[in-house]
Amino acid sequence: MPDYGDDAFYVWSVTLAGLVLPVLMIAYSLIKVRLSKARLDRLKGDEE
Amino acid sequence: MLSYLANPLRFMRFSRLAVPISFALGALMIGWSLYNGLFVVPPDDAQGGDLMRAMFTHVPSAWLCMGLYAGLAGASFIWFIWRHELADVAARAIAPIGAGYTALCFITGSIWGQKGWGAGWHNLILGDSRLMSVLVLFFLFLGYMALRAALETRQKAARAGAILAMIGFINVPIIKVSVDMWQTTTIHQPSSVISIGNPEPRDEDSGMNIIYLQQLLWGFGGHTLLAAAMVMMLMRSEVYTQQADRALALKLEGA
Repeated sequence: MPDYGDDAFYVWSVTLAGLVLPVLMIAYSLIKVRLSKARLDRLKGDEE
Repeated sequence: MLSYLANPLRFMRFSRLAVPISFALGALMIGWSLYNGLFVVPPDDAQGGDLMRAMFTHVPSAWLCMGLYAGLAGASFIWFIWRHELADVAARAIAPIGAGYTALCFITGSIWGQKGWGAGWHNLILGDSRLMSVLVLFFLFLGYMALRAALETRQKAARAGAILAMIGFINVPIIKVSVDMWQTTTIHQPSSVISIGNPEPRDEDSGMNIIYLQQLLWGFGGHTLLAAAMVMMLMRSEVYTQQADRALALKLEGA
């Protein structure tokens, strides 16, 4: 692990934020597409 | 390519393959950028030593939030002129991802600024042209989503949203020039890669050493692919929702 001295907290906080926020956005997109597909499948199933 | 994908069926076929590929490539490129940016390249003392490693996350998110807004305005323009439904679907999908990347730009910038400038953004934002113009961009994304949600029909929402998105595009060049041409109005550093009318470039070739620029470009490419994958997923979700609404309407008619 590199030693960034006084800057370590800031560098790792920024890097962590840069990983966590995109992962949250991916999770949001995945949940949204799964829910809308499930709704469509349910409606199609009802028709049949 | 765009006119080929304008057909929803073709888009659904294309995106089924493109989403996982974009995710995988994007994650690899971001990983490579962070590995080199955090562990391999030496610190740049002229840019604050090790603290400058924050730019490998902050700068790609800043470029991307402006790029995503340009995409939102472009898709809105296409819908407004040609009334292409998939362009409206794209605009709607871009907005939450753009808001997310603008939030990321703010969060990372505020952490970096806390050490780099010795002051949090909450103390600086009101009098600063760069910080304020990015805050306006964030509100434009949120306002676009709120406006669409407030209108009862899809057509009205698309029309009002498109007008807001196209007018709001004026903010994108303002963000860019705020650090190059109005340097006295911001504490933010001038552009290091492409500057417009910047009177003092940092060195003879470019403001940034190529070893840092390479990592920035890997990170930007990776986040762009990731954002493209998320936008395509949200577009797929919107297409499913529209199909479900039509199926529901047919069902109610038959009942």
